[in-house]
Amino acid sequence: MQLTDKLIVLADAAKYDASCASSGAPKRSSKGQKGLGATNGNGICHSFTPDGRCVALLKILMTNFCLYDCQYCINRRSSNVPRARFSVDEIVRLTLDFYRRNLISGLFLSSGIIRSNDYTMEALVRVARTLRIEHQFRGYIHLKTIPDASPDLIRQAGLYADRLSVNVELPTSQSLERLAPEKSDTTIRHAMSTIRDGLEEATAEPKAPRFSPGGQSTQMIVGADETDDHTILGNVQSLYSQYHLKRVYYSAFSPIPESPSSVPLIAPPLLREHRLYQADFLIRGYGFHADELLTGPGNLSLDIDPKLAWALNHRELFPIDLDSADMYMIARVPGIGVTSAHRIDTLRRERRIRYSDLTRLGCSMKKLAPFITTQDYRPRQAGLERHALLAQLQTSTPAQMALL
Amino acid sequence: MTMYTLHMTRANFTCWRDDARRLLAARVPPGNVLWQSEDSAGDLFASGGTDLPPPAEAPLALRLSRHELRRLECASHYWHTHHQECRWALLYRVVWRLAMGEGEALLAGDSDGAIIEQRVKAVSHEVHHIHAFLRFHPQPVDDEHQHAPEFIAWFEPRHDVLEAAAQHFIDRMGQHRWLIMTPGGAIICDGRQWHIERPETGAFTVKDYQALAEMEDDAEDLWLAYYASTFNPARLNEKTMVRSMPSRFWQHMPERVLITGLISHARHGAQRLGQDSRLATRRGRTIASNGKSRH
Repeated sequence: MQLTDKLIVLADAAKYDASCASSGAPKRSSKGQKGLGATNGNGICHSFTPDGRCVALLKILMTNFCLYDCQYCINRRSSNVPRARFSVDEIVRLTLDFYRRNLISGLFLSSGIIRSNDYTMEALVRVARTLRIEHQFRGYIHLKTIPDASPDLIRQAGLYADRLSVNVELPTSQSLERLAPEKSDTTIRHAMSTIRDGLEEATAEPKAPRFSPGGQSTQMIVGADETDDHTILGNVQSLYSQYHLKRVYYSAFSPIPESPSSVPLIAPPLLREHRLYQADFLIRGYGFHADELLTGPGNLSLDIDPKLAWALNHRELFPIDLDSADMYMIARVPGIGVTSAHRIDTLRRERRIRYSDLTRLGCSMKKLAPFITTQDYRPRQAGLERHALLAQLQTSTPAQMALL
Repeated sequence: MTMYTLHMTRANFTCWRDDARRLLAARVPPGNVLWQSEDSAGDLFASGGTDLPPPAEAPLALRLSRHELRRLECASHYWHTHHQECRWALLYRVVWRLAMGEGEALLAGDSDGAIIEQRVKAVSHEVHHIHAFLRFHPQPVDDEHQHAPEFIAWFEPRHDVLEAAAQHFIDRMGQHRWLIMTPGGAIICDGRQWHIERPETGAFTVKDYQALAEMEDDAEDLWLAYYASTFNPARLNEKTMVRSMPSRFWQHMPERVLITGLISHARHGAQRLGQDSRLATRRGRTIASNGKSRH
């Protein structure tokens, strides 16, 4: 098989992984040195495909031959797809060539499981080692970890990779049992603990060997099973606290060819995925608790964002006075982000806040208007009932993102 | 009241900083200074340069933190349009206000601070764009080209981002020799040192660049194969793509030839599935579950 053909097969096989981050790596430079590549902690999106997703890394599988039969996966062993396998040298050559042309910032390598878990993991590590040692490649490397691989191989991977990830795949262990019979929640969590322990050791001991400096992340597929957002967010919150995850990625399930009847054949729920990312961001960046965003079973509202939904359910806390409120509460106002909250705080040390300052800070005025007061502004909507206010704030009719 | 005219053609932040120091020392208010730069040519009141007055009895001086200085410098890389305020005039008004004790002048909630913030954002964004969307083309390497660049690129930035680009690519490219040409100047790197060469008159054009380049390049096909295959037609979302990758950059990106085709193909049927349609028609291969893969 030609290299181009392999690339077509193995990029198509890898694209269902949503993660594209090339951030979080330590500062590295090849200035005046042998070798190639740099990282500085910030990710770069080198291109965008018409699905609106960024191309930051060469995201491929080493092979899409796979012994597992995960129902949601296009590469499951019962799937009738063309199969291919890259050699180590082919992956290295593609990575370096694309990198020199400034097409990518590094490599995101994953694989189907062939022969055994350790055999597969070892092959992934070999690619990373060849890039790092033989070619002194200092760009970004993200390795997808095979959960059942031995802890020793995971540690080796951590020496070369900037980020490691193990996918939890599905929101609950029951779904995993049903749709991915060969995988187990226990071993997935075991691998995540191995990575967490490696990360902890590397931070605790300055002399410890380097270990995945960009941390670990995971992904779950949304919409392949019946799990609701309430359960998802609850599980996500515990994942963040147990495994020091940098990110949880949500991948709206895209129907695959010759779909087994166990998974739906409907358009990917893109808006739901978007709301989950927003809720996830509120948990990571704003100190929201999953239970605050959804108090009972069900899904996040599709027509308004979760922060606005929360504020509408807590009218008794608003409006707040921007000159005196806690920073923590300012960041909870719909339409004011963490950055703006900090800027408001800096500005109010110089003088009192005026309504027009908020426009200049780039806040979303329509959203924040009912929830704040300043010395020159008081909301007219203060007395409105929740549903009346909701009607005012809804920007458009609720719908899934345009399809067909 | 005397008006002072300062010529800022081809000026940089350091020149402005010297002038601003002397103007503050002489307590010249911002309304009494005309900053003449290449982008504000033909000012009605422009005249020959005026000698700056000697320091006043109570000279103004200003100490800025490194962070504040960096913000001002970044804003100075913003190329304003005709109906926008000259960058040097804006910067001087801000430091004047700071010197007069108006601490908010540099904060994003202030009217001047907001413009600074907007310009800092625009410049940082453009720096990001050149880091992301610039494309190097490999050049022939043989005895004849021993000192010629191995990789060359053409880019048309909106603001002055050459230095930021140079710092970035020298970290990335190791000992490779490379050249980036833009209308306002070219960065030339020999694998150790880099410098910026400005056009003697006017600007470099894409023709100047093409005269340097050997554009035959087969390996671009690999990238095109990857781009089309990593695209998921079931998630078509043009709006986000265009917002994140403005079309003014497409012209010099190889993938431009694919975009329209991928979109229309996704709209006409391919959108139900995520798989690349080139693969759907090919013979596939299921794998027996006896624990051995067949390859």
